[in-house]
Amino acid sequence: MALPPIAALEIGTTQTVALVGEIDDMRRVTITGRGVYKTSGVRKGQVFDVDLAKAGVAKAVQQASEESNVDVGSLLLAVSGGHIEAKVNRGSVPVRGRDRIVSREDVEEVTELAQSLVLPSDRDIMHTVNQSFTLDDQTGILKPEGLSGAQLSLDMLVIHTQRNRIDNLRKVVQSVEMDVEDVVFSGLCVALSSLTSEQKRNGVAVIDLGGGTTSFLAYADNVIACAGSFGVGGDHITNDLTVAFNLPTGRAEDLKRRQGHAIVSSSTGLKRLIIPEELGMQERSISLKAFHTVINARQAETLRLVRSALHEAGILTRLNAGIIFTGGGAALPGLTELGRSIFGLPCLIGEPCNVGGLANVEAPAAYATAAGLVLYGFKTYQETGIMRPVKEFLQGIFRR
Amino acid sequence: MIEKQTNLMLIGVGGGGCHFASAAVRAFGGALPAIGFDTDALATRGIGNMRCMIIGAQRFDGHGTGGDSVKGRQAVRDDHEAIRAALAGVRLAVVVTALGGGVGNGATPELLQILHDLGAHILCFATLPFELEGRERCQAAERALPLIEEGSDALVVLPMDQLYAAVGVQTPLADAIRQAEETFGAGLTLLWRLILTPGFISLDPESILAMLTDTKGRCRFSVASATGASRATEAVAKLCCSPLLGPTPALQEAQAVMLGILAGGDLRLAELTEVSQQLRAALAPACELRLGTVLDERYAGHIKLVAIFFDVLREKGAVPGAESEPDTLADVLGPIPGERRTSRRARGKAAIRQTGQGRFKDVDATWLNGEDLDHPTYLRQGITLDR
Repeated sequence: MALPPIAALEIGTTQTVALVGEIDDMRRVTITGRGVYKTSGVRKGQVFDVDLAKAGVAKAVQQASEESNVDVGSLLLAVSGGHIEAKVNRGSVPVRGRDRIVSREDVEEVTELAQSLVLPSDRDIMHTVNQSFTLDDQTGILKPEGLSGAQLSLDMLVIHTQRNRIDNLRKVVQSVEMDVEDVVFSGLCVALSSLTSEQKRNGVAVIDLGGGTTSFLAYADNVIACAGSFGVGGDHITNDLTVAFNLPTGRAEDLKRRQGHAIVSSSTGLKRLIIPEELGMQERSISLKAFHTVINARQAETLRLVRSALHEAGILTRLNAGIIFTGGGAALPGLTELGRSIFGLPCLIGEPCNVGGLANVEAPAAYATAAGLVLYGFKTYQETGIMRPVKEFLQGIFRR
Repeated sequence: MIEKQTNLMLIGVGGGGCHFASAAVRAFGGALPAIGFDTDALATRGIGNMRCMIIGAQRFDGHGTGGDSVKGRQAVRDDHEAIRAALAGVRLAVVVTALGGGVGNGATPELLQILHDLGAHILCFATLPFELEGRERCQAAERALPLIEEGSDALVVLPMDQLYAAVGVQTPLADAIRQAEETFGAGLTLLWRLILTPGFISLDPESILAMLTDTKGRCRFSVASATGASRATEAVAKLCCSPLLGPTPALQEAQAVMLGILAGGDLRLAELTEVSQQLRAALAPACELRLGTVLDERYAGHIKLVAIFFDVLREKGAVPGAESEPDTLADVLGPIPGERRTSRRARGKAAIRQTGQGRFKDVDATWLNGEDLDHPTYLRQGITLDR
């Protein structure tokens, strides 16, 4: 049975991306429609003006709809931001069978227990992802059913978020007469679109560098070991430049894109950047070295935040496949070099390699989230047979 | 003149402030330690009789702030160490600032903070713009006033309209400017005259410092001069109804007065008594009057009275309107993007802001490990930029 096309939307801080994807009989997903529009009314992944934000959504979706020739009535929505947190919750049950063999019921019971994390009243669980089972003192079990033991435990990664942040994003989509099928953490999306099975087996972290947020998700031993999001992104680099050199935001953004570098190199020497006459200020020049110093300070700090989170989760030494950077911020020259010096691991710029149709696109890393969202939609659909995904099935999706 | 070492300094802030300070130095006639601070190199070029420090030159290349108080504040921040070094050792600072512009509104509170950190006592003269300069500029000045008041031990607020009304509205402009500068200069240099120039009754610097410390608050100031036989009576009458005191010169409200009597060697004791008695009659009985005389041969045949009226006294350490927490600099002037600072009084109980600042003001602030990540990293990490 041919599956219907799936539309995905990412309301980023810098740009709103809408993609329409289709799946063929060989289960290959291809992006057939793409719409990108500048975002307004959003900062750090949070909506502060619904009317401003909805204009970007309407344009991007319309563009993707026209390109793919698909009438988009509902879509999946990716979210990121400092309001998203992840916690590993452990559930434990005694193995009930007389012969002490783990039954399906035992697994269901321990799963239910591990999922039931008590949260403050303003927070909702977005995703629950199985990590691994522990049977007595044997750890790292993926399928405990049929094994013998007395005590079964399950570590579950619970990703939760603040309800009103999600509600505001939903409102934006609903204001352009569309339905939100589901809301998905952007870190999960980039992992789906940009990581290979090989990388997941070897241990890898994907860092999505957005305009207002930085999200990460790490695999160790083929399970999602930790995830999170910070309300710091490319906008902060721009803002730092604005303050440091008294530049208008637009000019700082433009210079960052054209002349930015994450590393302060001795080769910049005494080079200077010419700032043309603007807003009543005369033409002047600023030191390229100072310019790169400001960028380096911010970018290094952001990466160190992720490093600390990975270190706290105890998986920094288990990431043999290194670090993958995605998102608009991955376009910053020198990023992989900076990443290597901070993580001490190989660093690469990722691409949404698990979907087709984005080969000829400029800066494909910027589409990693939306493309992953399309994949998420198809995978859930295949697993459940319904468009509205059932969270319990997630562990199956993300382990592959 | 014999001068005592009291580490007084006259400080001009902004174009107007530097100009007034320079005029005061010129009018004083003697060596007066003075320094000016401005971002605009061109505006201070004409000032030759005192040192003018161009602040924020790396950021603004010696240009003005265009009325942007945030720029004024940034300029002080940029050159914080150099300014601190220039002001080190000052015990009593007389600051003159012209509010309404970017440097006056933005840089003055920062400079006052530096002076305060250095342990200096501060008497601040702040002029308000002419009404004809436009409502926006006047409102900007009014908004900055509470910050200036908070930062100084005593603040004299002087609307330019009042200063020029004292000169006489019909006076030709060139003369009016000269006279206004002279009048204002007399106020600015009053302390020098009282402390540094020996007279019949001299004011001890320590008692002036004590008065400034005890009588924190907003002040008014008045200048009057007269000649002839009845010069003492005439001068006091002029002093008490000077347009400098505002439309209703309610001297009964004054709680303390510092009066300087400048005269030549011909000043008689009877005249001195007359001045004192007449002024006391105009003041409330409880009002404390401290006076000092300055005998200077240049004033032979003249008498000149310079008075500072302390209207609002407050307890040591108390604040005006203490029941309501005063606005911070950023609240009033708008923040430097990403800035996190608290007012002098609020320090030590810094509240965590719930929303971001500057560019990120519409959404939650990003706080992590006690740091506001919206604040530029290079500033938080103290990285010096090799510009």
